[in-house]
Amino acid sequence: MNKIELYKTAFINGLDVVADATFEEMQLGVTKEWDSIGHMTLIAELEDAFDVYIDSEWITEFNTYQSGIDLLKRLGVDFGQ
Amino acid sequence: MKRFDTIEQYGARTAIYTDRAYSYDEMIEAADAIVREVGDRTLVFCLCANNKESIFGYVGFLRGRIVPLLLDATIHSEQLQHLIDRYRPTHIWANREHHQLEQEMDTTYEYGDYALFACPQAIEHDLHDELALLLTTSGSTGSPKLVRLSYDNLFHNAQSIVSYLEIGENDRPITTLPMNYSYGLSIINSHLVSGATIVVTEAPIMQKEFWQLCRDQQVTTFGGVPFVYEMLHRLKFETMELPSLTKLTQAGGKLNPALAEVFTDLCERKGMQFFMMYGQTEATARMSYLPPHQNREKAGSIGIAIPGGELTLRSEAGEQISSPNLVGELIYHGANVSLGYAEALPDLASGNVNQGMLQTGDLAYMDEDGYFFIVGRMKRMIKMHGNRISLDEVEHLLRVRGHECVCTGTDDELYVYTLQDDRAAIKQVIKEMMHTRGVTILQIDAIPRNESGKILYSALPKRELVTT
Repeated sequence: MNKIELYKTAFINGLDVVADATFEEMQLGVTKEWDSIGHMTLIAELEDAFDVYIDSEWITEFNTYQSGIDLLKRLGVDFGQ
Repeated sequence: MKRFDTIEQYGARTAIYTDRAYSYDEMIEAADAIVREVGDRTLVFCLCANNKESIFGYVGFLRGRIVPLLLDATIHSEQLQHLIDRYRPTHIWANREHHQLEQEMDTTYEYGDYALFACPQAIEHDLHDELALLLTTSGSTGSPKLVRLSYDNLFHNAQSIVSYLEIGENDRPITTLPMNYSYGLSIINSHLVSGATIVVTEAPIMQKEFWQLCRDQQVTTFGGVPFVYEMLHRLKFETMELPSLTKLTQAGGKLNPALAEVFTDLCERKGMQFFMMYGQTEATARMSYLPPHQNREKAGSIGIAIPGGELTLRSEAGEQISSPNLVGELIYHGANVSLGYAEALPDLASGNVNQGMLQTGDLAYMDEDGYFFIVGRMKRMIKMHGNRISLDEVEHLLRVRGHECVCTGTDDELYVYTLQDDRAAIKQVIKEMMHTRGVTILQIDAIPRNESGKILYSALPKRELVTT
């Protein structure tokens, strides 16, 4: 599984969304499944999937599909390209 | 007693801060204008979110003796329609772009992002004179069962909360809970009658804007259900610099003991007060609190009754228990005990059924010092992230959609058992109708029953059985 697939899988498991959801448009507080509770589950999924620790500063900055990728890049995850 | 009809005295003080500051004068003007459009005493629905429109509408309805049913703005359309059909409101105060209402109803007035939708086929309601407000009993199963609250209920409870939390006009709470939820609403009521400033935001606590707003607006207090405290812990709340914060409150279910200790310690270090409290919508909101200086010595206790209230225990035989350490049903007496329930339109004309006495359905004991401890629940109820859910209602909700299930669980853990191969469909129903997490759906071969056919809930498996 490449990194993007791994990232999407964390969303599928963490937010309980379908596999063909439009991930790129997802936003905390806008996407129905991405509420407070979903956010914490998603964070836990990402930490497990990428073996990283996401601290509180970053938990509060992560609010879109793209911002999560940027966050993981800063934590040293290589998404290729 | 301070009510919303006396808040004019706060005049130019800031009532709420959202996109900007709104004074009490400005709030009252906007609130009363909404009500003028509604007209005479009647029933309306108010679709609430943490925004100025919801609060102004609510304040106006109470001032103008219009009875609102407060609902979450994100209520499922099927559940909303069900409630409209059952209670026939004359108006619905909601976002002007509400897709369902926009198609079916005309609007007669607008303020900010909200509009007053006029319901076709409005009826004349027979409302009991004391009836002020209706709240739902269950956050998410969409049950039409409502709690009937009076003007006295609301403002007695607000006054009591103001007194034990020592709320004053310099307090600045920030919204962390929905206002259609009794705990969230009690924060709004107790602060508005005190002339305080409420910082109103839709931003959840895991967003940067929330904490930015806390700092910029010098927030002094907020409340949270246990889940909020779990998140605060995860967010390393102890490392945040929030010098204006002086008081945290917790209710909506029991905080786990480890977390209670963590927050007791950190609040003490930071010079903040930490109030753990207990209540039910049937008692408007609050029934008891643990005085913060007892947080350690009386850990796990729901504390003592709020000012003006009384907690007692009743044995199975119906007798009052006066000795310590004996378990019985927790009974509350106070002016904040609701009038009763409503399950259909005629109930809105009923009077005070409860007569100031509430059987909480919680099992508790009292220690030698008069502090109460809850040990269990008599009814088949659990709390999911602070929202009370009746297990029977979940079963009903699934049954009417063709899924014969048995439900059990503890707080934040709901188990659904099915005999069919329909777990995916059940999951979908729960997700759509209840919007909740922490649900485990299991397929089992048979429902364990005793000789008389009663379901043995305790004999249900808590995880997947390996079938070979």
